[in-house]
Amino acid sequence: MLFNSYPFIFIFLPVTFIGMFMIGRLSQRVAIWWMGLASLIFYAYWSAYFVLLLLSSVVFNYLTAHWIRRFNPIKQRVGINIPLILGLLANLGLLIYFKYSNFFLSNLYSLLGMHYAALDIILPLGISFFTFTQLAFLVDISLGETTEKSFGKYLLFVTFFPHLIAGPLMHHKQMMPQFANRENFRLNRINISLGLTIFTLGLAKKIFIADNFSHIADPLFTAAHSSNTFQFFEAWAGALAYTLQLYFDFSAYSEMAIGLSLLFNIRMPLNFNSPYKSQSMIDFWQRWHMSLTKYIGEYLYTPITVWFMRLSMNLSGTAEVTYTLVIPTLITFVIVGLWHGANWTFLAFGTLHGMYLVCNHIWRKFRRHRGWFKNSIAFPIFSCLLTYISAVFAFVIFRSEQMSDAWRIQEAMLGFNGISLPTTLRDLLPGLAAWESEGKLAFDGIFPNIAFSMPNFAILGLLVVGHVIIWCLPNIHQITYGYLIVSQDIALGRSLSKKISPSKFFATLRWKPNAIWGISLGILFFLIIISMAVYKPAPFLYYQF
Amino acid sequence: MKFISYFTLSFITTAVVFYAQVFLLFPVPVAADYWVREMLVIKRDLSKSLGDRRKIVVAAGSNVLFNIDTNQLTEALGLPAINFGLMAGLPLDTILRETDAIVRSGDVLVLALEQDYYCREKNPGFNEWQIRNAIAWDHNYWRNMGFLQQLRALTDLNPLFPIELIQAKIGLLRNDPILTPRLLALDDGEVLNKYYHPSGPPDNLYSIYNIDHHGNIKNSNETSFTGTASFRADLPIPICPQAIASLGSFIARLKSKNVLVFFINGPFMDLPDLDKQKLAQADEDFIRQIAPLAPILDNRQEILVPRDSFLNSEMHLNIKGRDHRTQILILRLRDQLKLY
Repeated sequence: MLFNSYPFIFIFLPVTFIGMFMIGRLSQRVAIWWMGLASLIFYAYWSAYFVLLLLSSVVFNYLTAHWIRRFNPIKQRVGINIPLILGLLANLGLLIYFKYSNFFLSNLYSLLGMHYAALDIILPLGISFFTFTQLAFLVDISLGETTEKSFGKYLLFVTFFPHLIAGPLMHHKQMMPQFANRENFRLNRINISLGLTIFTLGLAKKIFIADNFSHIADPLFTAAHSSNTFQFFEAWAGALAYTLQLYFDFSAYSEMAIGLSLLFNIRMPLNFNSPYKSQSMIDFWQRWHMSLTKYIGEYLYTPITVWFMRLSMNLSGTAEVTYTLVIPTLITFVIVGLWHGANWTFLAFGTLHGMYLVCNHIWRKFRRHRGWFKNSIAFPIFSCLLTYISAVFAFVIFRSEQMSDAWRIQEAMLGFNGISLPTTLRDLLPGLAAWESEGKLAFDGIFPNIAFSMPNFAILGLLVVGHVIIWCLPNIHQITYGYLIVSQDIALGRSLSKKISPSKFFATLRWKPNAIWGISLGILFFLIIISMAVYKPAPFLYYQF
Repeated sequence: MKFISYFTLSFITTAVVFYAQVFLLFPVPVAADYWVREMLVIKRDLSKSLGDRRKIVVAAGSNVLFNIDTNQLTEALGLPAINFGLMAGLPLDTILRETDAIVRSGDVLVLALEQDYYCREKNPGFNEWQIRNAIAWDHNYWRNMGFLQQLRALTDLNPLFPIELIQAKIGLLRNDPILTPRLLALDDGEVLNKYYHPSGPPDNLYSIYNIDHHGNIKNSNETSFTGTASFRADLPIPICPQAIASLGSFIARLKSKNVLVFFINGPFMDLPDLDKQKLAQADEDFIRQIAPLAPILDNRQEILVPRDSFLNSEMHLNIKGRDHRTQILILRLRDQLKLY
């Protein structure tokens, strides 16, 4: 079921909401089961068959956790490792079968020079998310970090519908205490107001902004896949549009999930914090898909780094850097890339980001050591632009169906296919005639080869608006600062709040549960609802991961 | 609680204001395809001009307008023929209602419905084009919809539509010249005057000046369609009960008026990868479901048309394709008319 669909907004959500708080007044335990059941129905709307798979996965992991819990985490490490390893292998096996088997087998067959007939495997929705959530749970239970025994709570923790399909990735420490809090089963007006606000703004972002960028991005990637030629501005327009689309789409989904959770008094972690304002790649990954970064850092990067640090105890200089920084970062980001899907493009995307981060860490040390650009005003702007452009180049690979498509686009972005300017400039720029005769420059219009479904001024206008939003406007967490962050501090720890500061320039935009915000969002919500009829809801991009 | 109350109240108020506006301001000459109405007025008049003479009417959406030459039909069969091809955006009910109004006892009606007319309930929503045009000029269609249907239709409107309504209403009060052609299109006398006394050559393909006196489109000799064909001859046409019911009652009514009714297929592109076996099967399925209503005069195999015979869409043939399509119809109709 899509968050941006009528059945969800007008049937599923009201029924689940009313049911939860009516039952919650009588029994907290039954309310938890009610929410678990509702979440399974939410999933079953996509496929009743795969609910069985989801449920089997939940039951299997719950039983494995029960088995692990029988051992003492300190004294019986060896005993614990048996169910733990079995659990990890089963989860990874499931993920590999559904997500990667065709990829691995087709490449293996191709290496052996044999023909491979692809297996008819449907990728279950959200499998990466619910598998990773449960893997972390098994690891934590083996370390004695949680003692949760209630199956109802565990089922809801994994399947809670706002985060089931595309995150944010939740840690049991963030969620379980909230299910145990009696207050969370009573209506909370502030949370409902805030939840409605964040959900409405997220929905508006998806319908009015994100989906529009697909009309610019899709034709470019289709042209690249069909080996059509295109030029500099067309490549940049499409690449920038996809970079914006991905951010608006995924952050809209995350905000809708946060808003929906708040309606049920559950606080979710932030997932985006204006990532395109980042001044370095290290900063970027602390602001982009934050729940994944936190997860990867905790369960992958740190253990790998520790392991390599042990290996490199007696090393120094370049060798030490290679062992403690380069290898762990590259391994982690190759996995991050592959987590998104089974394709060489995702692997290349992850590797490229790994390389970005290695360079960034080395540059940061070097810069600090030399004391460069300490008080420069231009440096942060330059860093922000460089980070953004690096991200754009990586997202071109991420979106492309094949590496050759990505090369084609990147070549054009670097000007190898020539540049075409508006015809009217020919007379204004006579000095460029020499370039024109050499074939490097043409005056055939800025988008001469790709037939975009909107006029040029609309494309340029949309790109400008998109960049104004990402660079100049506050994000949802800054707009609701003082409400969302304060409540998150209590639930999720103070570390997150340090990354968010209130919007200084847009103080008037600061949300308050008052009449002005209520009326404005009510009108906006109606406009969204009727727009959904005209612009049919498009699935969220992260549903495919 | 204030926030939630205001949110709910403003949501409901906006909805009421939005929908009430349409009812209060109707009818409004918002931007729409007025040429469709003009064409309807002209075709009604061309048909009326034949008086009680027996005639052939070929009806449906724009595929008939482009694909059948009723001049050739008239010449070959010795009966006056009217091209009653309108526009495929119109609802099936409108096409049938308008056709019903022009056929007389003894007439021959050939229905060449576009493929999707056989199952529009598969997509039960109204499209914005239909509602916009109903509000702009197809007032009877709007009035006959019933309140609940009208409400349902309004949910498919663009959120900016109320602004257009208000602009048009203000324009009416201020005699805005932009509205003049729209208002003239609502005046049957003016439309006919323009048609019979044109002030110049047609300014575009979809102009009423570009229709001859048998209702056929003129100047359609280009070949500009480069898109992919979505209506493949080797795929079955979905046929839904609602369309069968509408067509069934319409045909029964005409038969009782002693009108001969036939179906013909829409054009199909001759694609290199067509599966001939599936094509035959799809044809059989279509005949099995539609023939009980009225005979089908052709089959898919014989009306496959090469790409260079298409004009500007996969439903519109150019003159070359139209001649081919019309000759097949003449042969089949000649056989049928001998029988009756």
